[in-house]
Amino acid sequence: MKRPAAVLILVGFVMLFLGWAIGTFFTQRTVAKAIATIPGSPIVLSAKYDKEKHAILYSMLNPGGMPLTIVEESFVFTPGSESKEKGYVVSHLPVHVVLPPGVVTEVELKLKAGTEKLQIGDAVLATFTYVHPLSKDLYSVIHPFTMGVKEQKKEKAQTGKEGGK
Amino acid sequence: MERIIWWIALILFAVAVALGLFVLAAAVASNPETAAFVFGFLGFWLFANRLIFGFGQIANLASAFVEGEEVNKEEVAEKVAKSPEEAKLRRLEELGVATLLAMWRSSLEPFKYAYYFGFFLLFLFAVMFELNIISSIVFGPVVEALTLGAAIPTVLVWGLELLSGYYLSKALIKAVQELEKEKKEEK
Repeated sequence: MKRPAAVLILVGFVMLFLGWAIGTFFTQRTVAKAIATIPGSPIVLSAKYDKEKHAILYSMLNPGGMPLTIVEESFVFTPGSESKEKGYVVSHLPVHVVLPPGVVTEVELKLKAGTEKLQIGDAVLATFTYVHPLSKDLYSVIHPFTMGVKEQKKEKAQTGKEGGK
Repeated sequence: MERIIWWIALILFAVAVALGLFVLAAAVASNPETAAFVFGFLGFWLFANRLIFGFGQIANLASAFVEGEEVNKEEVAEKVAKSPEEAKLRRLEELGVATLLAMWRSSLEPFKYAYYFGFFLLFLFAVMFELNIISSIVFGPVVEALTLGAAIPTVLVWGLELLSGYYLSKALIKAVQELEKEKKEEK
């Protein structure tokens, strides 16, 4: 059998760890609750052209704690040297895509129907307009996509308030 | 006079209970985890109470016996038998202090078992939430807070159990030595 001093030290250590666990738990809960009320801005992790659907698929991460909703898409098509298609602009394409907090979501951008498939060198500058539950303001993310060029690290996605109602 | 004091005590008790409920309700409204923590602590303490004070007293009395202090045998016999008649029928007054303490400690065994079982179930639940085997945004943190609150009396029970076991084994060794001494003197 152990000596009483050893028992007390053992129990003391266990109590210390228990107190640590309790403190960590409550701190974590407080921080998690605070973070859950901060809206983030979506980050485009990768963009891929889907030939069959004639659409570009964006993988978007919502790093904040609040759900974001994309309400509008618009894009500018700039043809490369190999394409016969003319440049065109599509704006104010209403969509409703919810980005849940902390998760990567796939967002589809349909190119103009009846146009040619994308060739290497074609560029699509897409603008996603999104809202979050805390305000009525509209925010946007702009993502440049060039066909055949590997996704570069320096992402040009910019966030800026476009103006509230 | 006695009546008035009794009524005053009752009113004070009712006020204390109402105040406690109010504080708990406020805690529930503001932070469900804190409320769960308090409930886990109080609820498990309720079940651990007999064990905590039982093991604590056994450790105290056994250490007093080892140091050669006078221990009231009737007090210990009361804990082993439910009534003085039962104590008489079981001839508890003929037994030594160390034996009575050992009987008391083994009478606590089923309570200890049930208590640890209850805590283990809650702990298992919390671990399942923690490992995302089952998940719920609402109940996960609440169960975890309950377990953390319940862990405090559990550690106390465990520590006092170890301590009482240590002192009781010392007391039993001393009692056996005394018994052998008496036998030698008789010869």
